[in-house]
Amino acid sequence: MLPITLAVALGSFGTQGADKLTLKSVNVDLPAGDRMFPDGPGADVANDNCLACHSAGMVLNQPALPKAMWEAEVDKMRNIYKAPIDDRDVEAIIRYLISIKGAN
Amino acid sequence: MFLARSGRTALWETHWVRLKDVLDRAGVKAGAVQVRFNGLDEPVVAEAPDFMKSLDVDHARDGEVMIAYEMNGQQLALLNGFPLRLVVPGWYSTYWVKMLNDIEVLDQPDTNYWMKTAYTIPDTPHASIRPGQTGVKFVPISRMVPRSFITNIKSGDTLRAGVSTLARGIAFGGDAGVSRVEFSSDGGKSWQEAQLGTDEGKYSFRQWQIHFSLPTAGNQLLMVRCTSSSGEAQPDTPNWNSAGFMRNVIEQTAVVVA
Repeated sequence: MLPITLAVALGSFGTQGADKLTLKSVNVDLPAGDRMFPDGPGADVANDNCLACHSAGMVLNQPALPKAMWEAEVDKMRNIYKAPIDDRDVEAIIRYLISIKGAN
Repeated sequence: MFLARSGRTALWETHWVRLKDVLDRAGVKAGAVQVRFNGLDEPVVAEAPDFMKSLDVDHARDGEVMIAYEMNGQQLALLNGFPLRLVVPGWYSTYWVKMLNDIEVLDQPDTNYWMKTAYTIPDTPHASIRPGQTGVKFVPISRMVPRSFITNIKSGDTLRAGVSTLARGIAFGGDAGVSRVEFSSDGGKSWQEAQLGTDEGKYSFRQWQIHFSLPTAGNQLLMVRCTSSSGEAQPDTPNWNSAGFMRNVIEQTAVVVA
């Protein structure tokens, strides 16, 4: 529906001397992204909570970070991006992040 | 009324309309401060902040900011922002809003999360501070800085001593054109000016190349430095902020000379 509306809108600006633009809707299969977090205590909690919104790679490609920064990241996911993470899972996630990407 | 335009850079040919013309047609009232752009994408969790970005009204009407709808003779791919994408030449791509479907003129500065909190930089020279520095004023990120890369030699490659070798790559000036690219084959002790490829316009990549030879065997660092047409050169020490924004320190390629 939307592409048709937009095609009309652009057409009304006129495209003299240029080919008329016709936008067509297409179906796109996005890659699945089935990578999981590496095994370890808390990996299942990370898989269950974090992968609902973003890939494991987004975490695994970060530099090693100290505890306070991982706490701030998890806090941002909950309070800014509204990730529905249970209070009881928060500590396990932070411990897991420190175990795979911790720094002093 | 003729609004559609087209042009090309070294990399692609695009069709667009100028944002200025769209705003003029809609009519922008006195008291307009910023123009905000929203796309069809939505946050994963409904209550999370919707991604929106804003430009000052004078910037939005500078005649350079555009709404692109076609690239290389085809409609934009989904990942490039189908059907419409904002293009903000010289500014970081956080402003290049994809799947654009809503443009709103604001009578005060935008305080939405993606302008006020996310994508902000220290309001200091080169957005640089010390790790842990407090009392820093943050402002929205804006213009890009110059960068350059060697694209035909990788770190760890072995080069032959005393043999003429071609280095080539790309450079871009950020919010200005490329005026000079210099190359060092001795870890930055001396620099030679590289030959520049075609100038496709101030916002385009520019190719560069140079022939050099390394006299003696051992380890060596190759470096390349771009200076923009506004006189800004890549620094030899990195700027620092917690997000790594605007990092454009001179890149190093470590080679083995044998």
